[in-house]
Amino acid sequence: MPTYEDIPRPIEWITDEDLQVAKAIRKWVDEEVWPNRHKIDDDWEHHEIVKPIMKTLLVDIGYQRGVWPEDVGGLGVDSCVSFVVGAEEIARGDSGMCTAANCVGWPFLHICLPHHRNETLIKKFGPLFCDTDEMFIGCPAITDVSSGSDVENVDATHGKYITTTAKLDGDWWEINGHKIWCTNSGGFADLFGVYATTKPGEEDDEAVAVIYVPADTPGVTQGKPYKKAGMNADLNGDIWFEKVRVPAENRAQGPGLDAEYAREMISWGNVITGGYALGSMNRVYEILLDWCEHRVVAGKQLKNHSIIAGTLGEIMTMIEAVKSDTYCKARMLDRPDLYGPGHSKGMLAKTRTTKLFSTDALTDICNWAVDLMGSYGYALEYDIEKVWRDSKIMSLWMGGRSLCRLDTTRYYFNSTEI
Amino acid sequence: MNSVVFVKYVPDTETWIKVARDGKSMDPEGVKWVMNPYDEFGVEEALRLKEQFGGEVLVVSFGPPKIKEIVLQGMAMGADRGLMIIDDAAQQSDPWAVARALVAGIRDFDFDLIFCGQRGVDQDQGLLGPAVAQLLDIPQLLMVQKVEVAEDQKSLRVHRPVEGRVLVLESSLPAVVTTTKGLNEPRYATLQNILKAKKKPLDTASLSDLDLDAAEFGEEARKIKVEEMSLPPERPPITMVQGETPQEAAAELARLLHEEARAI
Ligand SMILES: Cc1cc2nc3c(=O)[nH]c(=O)nc-3n(C[C@H](O)[C@H](O)[C@H](O)COP(=O)(O)OP(=O)(O)OC[C@H]3O[C@@H](n4cnc5c(N)ncnc54)[C@H](O)[C@@H]3O)c2cc1C
Repeated sequence: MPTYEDIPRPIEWITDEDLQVAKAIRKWVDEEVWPNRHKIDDDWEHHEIVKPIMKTLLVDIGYQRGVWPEDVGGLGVDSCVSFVVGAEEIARGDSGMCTAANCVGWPFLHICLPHHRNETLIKKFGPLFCDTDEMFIGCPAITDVSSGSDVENVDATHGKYITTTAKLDGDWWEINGHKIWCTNSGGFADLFGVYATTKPGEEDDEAVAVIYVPADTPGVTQGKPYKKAGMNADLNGDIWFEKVRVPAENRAQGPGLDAEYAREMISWGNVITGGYALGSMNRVYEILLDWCEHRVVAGKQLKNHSIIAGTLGEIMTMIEAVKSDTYCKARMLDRPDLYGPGHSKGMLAKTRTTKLFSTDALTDICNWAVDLMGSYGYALEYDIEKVWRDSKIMSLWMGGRSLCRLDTTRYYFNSTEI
Repeated sequence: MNSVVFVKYVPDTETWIKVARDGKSMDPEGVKWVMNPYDEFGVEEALRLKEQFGGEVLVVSFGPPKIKEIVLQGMAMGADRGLMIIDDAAQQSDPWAVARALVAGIRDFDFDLIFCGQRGVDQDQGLLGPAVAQLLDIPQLLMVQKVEVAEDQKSLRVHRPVEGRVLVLESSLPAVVTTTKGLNEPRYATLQNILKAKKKPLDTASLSDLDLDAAEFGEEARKIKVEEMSLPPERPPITMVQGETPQEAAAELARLLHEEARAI
């Protein structure tokens, strides 16, 4: 009988090392994550169960060192394909945990990717993640309380609606603002990558600033985690920045470049979200495989009823299409020499379609899967409801479905007024 | 303290096994392959001894090209080097032939201990360890659950479970140890070791590179021939035990176990 590993993906782009990483993560998922799935949901507030499980991944397996270059003890992973391989495996266990783990490193793409390394900040922050036996948690602090999409809608709003401000005062930034929802907030984060504006209310890419702020800086407060419909292995809460002062060197790149690489970060985030969706789909496939084998209605196995078989066929077609597309875009980000830079508007649009397609497909697949399981699908014990609850947010974050479509059309149709 | 670990590629125990058309081998289609779980205990134990005493760990496998995955897995767990003996003749070789290939593969490695699983979860023969010990003319300690190497690294003491008791055995080194469940909890391969493994020596050899004659391997050369392979009979349907009270249900269960299943 095939397994989720038989769903085709381009193995010529996947290295032996990627496969070993996948294997290590799979063992962790099968031994530590999946058996604790119900407890993880109940643990949404205090993360007493979640934290030790996360620690195995981040510290023992070493995931938190991922993006950091080797000279500071990191692993120097700069391949989007590698991240998608990892994300598929983690999200098969728990997509919330996958979100939390990947957001540990995501804000540091700004300074770690080989074509725009910021050596000063790598030396300053890298060892905190790499030279330790404890978890050290990054947090992409993008979403403002006023609006998330406006911050991420770089090419339409050019920072105009960012409400978190950064004012240069000698050799220091003073940061004021109120962020919400950011993954790994809720008291967990140690270091924020804060999206701010240096010219409040102005439409100017040069004003978009990405500034790293340690969580223990005076003036930083993290609120309690929100109670959400799903993804309980990820903590999300309010973060207040009140007259927070950090050294001027903490800005990721500088005027213009921060906005440019924000686009790149979103491109990577789009594709890696595709990886999360794939991991969840792998799990849905496993659940359905078991269910349709053993559930007997009208005298035969569910999978042998033609109407059900048709739906299963469609589900597999969707999963295959998402795999092909996600790996294709990941590979494109890995080969800017062939496909152009990750921060180009073209790559942003092409990866936006991946996010839209993969997360919509996941929403549909979960919905079908619940249908196929009848009321059992609605019961905790049968697991599909967890995947169903955890999944929807993937299409909401990073500006939601609208922004995906806007960025796509802006590029493909040169729509200048959206 | 140098150790060798022999690792075998086997079907995952969760894989659905089908018998091939020839009626005497397994259909490889759709089979998921993994490192024999008992061999993972061997890798872990060898790494622990290395951490305790220093030295090197060599992981060796004999089979088709896909054994690379498990040799790399051993290196990703922390082994220092790997050897893949890749040859078409590996297919269907019996344990004696496999032992000959593996022993030839390590002839230039100065080892103190050889670990292998007490059996492969594929054919459950449990012959490899004894065959290796026989070929090398060194002691064999089978189905081991605890390994203690003496401070002077000249001898070892092991625990072997026997029918609810533990047999404590001592031996000189070098020796062959076959591992069983309970020996240890194999570690995760860390990302760092996985990436480091890329830079560690990983050698490939064919049977002829090891001065062995491929004609003495494979199906034809087997000393034990497989005549027929079949799946176990389907399990009878499950009986749900009924009863108004737990006591009644328990009594009924006991009756069924005694009278029908004849288990008690
Ligand atoms: C589990 C979880 C994890 C998260 N992780 C992070 C994180 O790590 N970092 C972070 O910063 N944020 C994070 N978020 C927040 C998330 O990214 C934002 O909520 C999201 O971007 C949408 O922003 P919003 O909620 O403010 O909605 P709004 O921006 O108010 O959008 C509301 C609706 O309007 C649409 N819309 C927005 N702009 C336009 C437009 N110009 N034209 C037409 N339609 C538009 C949107 O698509 C959406 O449908 C997370 C949220 C959750 C729940």
